[in-house]
Amino acid sequence: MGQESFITPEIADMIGKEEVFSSPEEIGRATIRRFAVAVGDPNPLYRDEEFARKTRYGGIIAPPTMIFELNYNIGVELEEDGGYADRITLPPPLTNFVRGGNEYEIFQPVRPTDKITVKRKISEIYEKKGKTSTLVFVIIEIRYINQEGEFLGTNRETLIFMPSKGS
Amino acid sequence: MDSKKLFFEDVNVGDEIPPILKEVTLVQNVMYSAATWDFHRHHYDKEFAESKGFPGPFVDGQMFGAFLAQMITQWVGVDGVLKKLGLTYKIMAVPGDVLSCKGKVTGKYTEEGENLVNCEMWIENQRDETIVAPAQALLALPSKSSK
Repeated sequence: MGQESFITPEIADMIGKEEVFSSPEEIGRATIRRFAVAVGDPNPLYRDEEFARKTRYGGIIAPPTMIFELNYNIGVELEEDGGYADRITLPPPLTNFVRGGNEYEIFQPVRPTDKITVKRKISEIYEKKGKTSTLVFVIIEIRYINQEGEFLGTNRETLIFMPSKGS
Repeated sequence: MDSKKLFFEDVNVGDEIPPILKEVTLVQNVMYSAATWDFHRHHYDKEFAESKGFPGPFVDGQMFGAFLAQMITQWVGVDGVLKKLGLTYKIMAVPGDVLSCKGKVTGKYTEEGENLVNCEMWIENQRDETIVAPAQALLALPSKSSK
């Protein structure tokens, strides 16, 4: 209708394919403390073992949204822009993206001993007319599971892709 | 720090969540990149960000989730549990911004033995522009009767 759709068969084909990343090591207390420092959260539950032991958790846990914010695919090559080579991208001209939203559901606290497996798939791709160009919305469903097979949480992420100014 | 505890009975619809202020800096962007293993140049490389048509390096939107989670956990204390958090990002935040995280209680109910509270939250910058809205949280709180 007037303008052609940006969603080519190649892009539509990305829907529904699950990818799995397994972290080779436990999260560890250092990751939790460094994350808490980086976001400026002084809660002792994330860094003071003695304090944390006396709480209902019996030990240090991670800030509630931390597992959704970490990347686990370390070891995967980085591209020129600093992004991981296996991250979700769309073919040109849709090479610019911003984050549209995140919906987190948290099932249990994350502990330093958790080894995380991430299962990621695209559930939906659609386009909308933006102010200056068409925007392509990619909805990604990500599930987080530990080494015991316990379900830690889910993250429904919206990325918004648009034509790059440079292309 | 906080031995304080917020009980379900203490919360009413319309209550304001004590707001928090977060100043974001380029250094913090780099710390966050390192802590989360996200090394995208968007967040620290001025030349790169400008070449992509952005006004400059910008804050990773997921950091706002951590800010709202901090506001919630400081308010409810160690015995409150954040069960759901949803965020919609409106405009970017850039280093130097001072972000006000705010929220209020929009609902409370008991379901399957859990005392649940709904909150609506938002984040504004120092120019009163909306950075995040709407944002919603679902919390479980302890009850006076069960403790």
